[in-house]
Amino acid sequence: MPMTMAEKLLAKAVGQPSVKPGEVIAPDPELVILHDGYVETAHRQLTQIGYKRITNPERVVILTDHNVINTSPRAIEQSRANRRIAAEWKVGAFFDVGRGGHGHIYPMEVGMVRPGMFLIAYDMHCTNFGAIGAFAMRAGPDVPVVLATGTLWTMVPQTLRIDLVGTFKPGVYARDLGFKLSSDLTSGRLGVEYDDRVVEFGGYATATMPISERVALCNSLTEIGVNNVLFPPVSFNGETIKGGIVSDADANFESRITLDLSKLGPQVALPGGPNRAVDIATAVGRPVDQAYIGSCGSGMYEDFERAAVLIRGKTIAPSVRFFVVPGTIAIAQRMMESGLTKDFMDAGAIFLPAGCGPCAGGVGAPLGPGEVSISTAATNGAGRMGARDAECYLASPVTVAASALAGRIVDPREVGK
Amino acid sequence: MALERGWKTRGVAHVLGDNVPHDGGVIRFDLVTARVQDPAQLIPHLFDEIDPTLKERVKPGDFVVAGKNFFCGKAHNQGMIAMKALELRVLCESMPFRSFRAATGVALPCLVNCEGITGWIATGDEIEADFDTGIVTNLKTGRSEQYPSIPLEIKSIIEEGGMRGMLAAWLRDHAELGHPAE
Repeated sequence: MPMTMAEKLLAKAVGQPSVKPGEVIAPDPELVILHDGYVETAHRQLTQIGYKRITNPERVVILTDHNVINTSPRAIEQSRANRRIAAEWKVGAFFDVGRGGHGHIYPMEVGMVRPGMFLIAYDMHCTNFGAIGAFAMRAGPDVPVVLATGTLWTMVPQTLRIDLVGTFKPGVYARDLGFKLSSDLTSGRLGVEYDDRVVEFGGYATATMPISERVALCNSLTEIGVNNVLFPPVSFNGETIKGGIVSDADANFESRITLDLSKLGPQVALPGGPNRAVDIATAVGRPVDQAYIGSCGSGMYEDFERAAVLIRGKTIAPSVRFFVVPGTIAIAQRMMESGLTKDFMDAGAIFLPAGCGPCAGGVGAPLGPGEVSISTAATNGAGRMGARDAECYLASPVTVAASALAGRIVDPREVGK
Repeated sequence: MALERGWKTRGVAHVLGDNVPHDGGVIRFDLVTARVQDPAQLIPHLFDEIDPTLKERVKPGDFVVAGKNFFCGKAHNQGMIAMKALELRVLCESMPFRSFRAATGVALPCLVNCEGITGWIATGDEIEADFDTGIVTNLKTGRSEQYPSIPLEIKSIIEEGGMRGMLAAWLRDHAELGHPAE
């Protein structure tokens, strides 16, 4: 029976020759990932029922990326609880404050998450792992079920296949495509179903797409409620995996569309959500108080490298606070060794420790009432990065860097003209 | 709290539209981010942003009848916890799977493929819904429609009381999990 990539990965995880959309299954994860913000809640829920241990603890990994800086008594208490619980449960690995890095990047960086894997994670942005062809299922508040039983029921999703052709024009990146697609899918302009669907990217343009760009695309679409985002399997260094799991040529995609990357211009997501994308011209000129590059969507070395090209030798606008948040410790070290850290600091940027940065509720760099920010955060709902009435715009790392220099939202294609 | 009243029940319908989000629709977002789990704190704010008086009009056993994409947005469960505590049931045209799983986790009964249901049931109508057969009847007009019934796997989770009940049953069958890891 011909199958999509998602169906093949899920069939493998249930030990069956095939699965079909709508089928209720309980797949067996090779890995279970929790972030620091939900360990205590899951532990409390299980303890109240009587659990004193978890199933397959060696497969469980806890990463600290949300509250890397413990700026409140509550955060300190939570950090202490996480250390105690990690030891009590005897989890496979626990990455404390200042270790490892972002839970949606670090596990790929060190080969903990590999192409063709099926895993379960608490947080929805585990879909990042689709960038290398791994299927990570988000458990959310059902994660205690995974910890107790080793699995979680789900339904096999339908797949929307998107073939990418052409190349991005200068100043345009995958983050722009992610916002544009989020807008076009949610508005119905593309005329295809997306909710709870796996979005599988293919087409020749994906072959040369760097992992950082694949991650950006996985990340942006997750916010609109897709089930998962998958790319053909590659190693973290971008090498093709021979014999890797891909869709059959005659797989049963629910819908299939083709997009030409060369037709796209820079986008900005207006406050409210990544789906509120507009051509950048609509937002150009809006003064900004804060800029930030990082998050699970744009926290990889290449994201900072592209932004540094604009920043190098320049100074950010005096009215702007500019935060840089490397995704992992290794990325931060590489930035230091290659000189990127100096480029950003010379320009006036402030570094925060590896992790989510202010996207996790404003931690380390909250916005005040009425303030305006432009960033590469995963999302931008009201109150996401501080005050509820702060305006959070989203854009690519390059647009954010250009705007930090200008003190207002600018089109990166206009910089240096 | 497992399922009260069985799978075939009668109650008054309260009809909502399409695309009602959980966060910022069914329940306030700040109660979600604060991870409030206590129904007593959640119920006073249920439906605040779409109909502030609705929580006072609903009675145990009533049905929330919604259009497409009910509980859209992220799969948080605070509003669902409040609805479960009020013993409400959901009949809707569609619901994102992530929300359906979260609702099942709190044992909130939802029949989720009731195509066109908001077209023939109005707020205030007394209706009967049988989740086992998928038959929904408007007792005021006499009209009846058949929809896909609730899957057996989902039914058993709800009968066990959702995630908590299912985990308690699992612990009974796996007693070793009640002892500390060696």
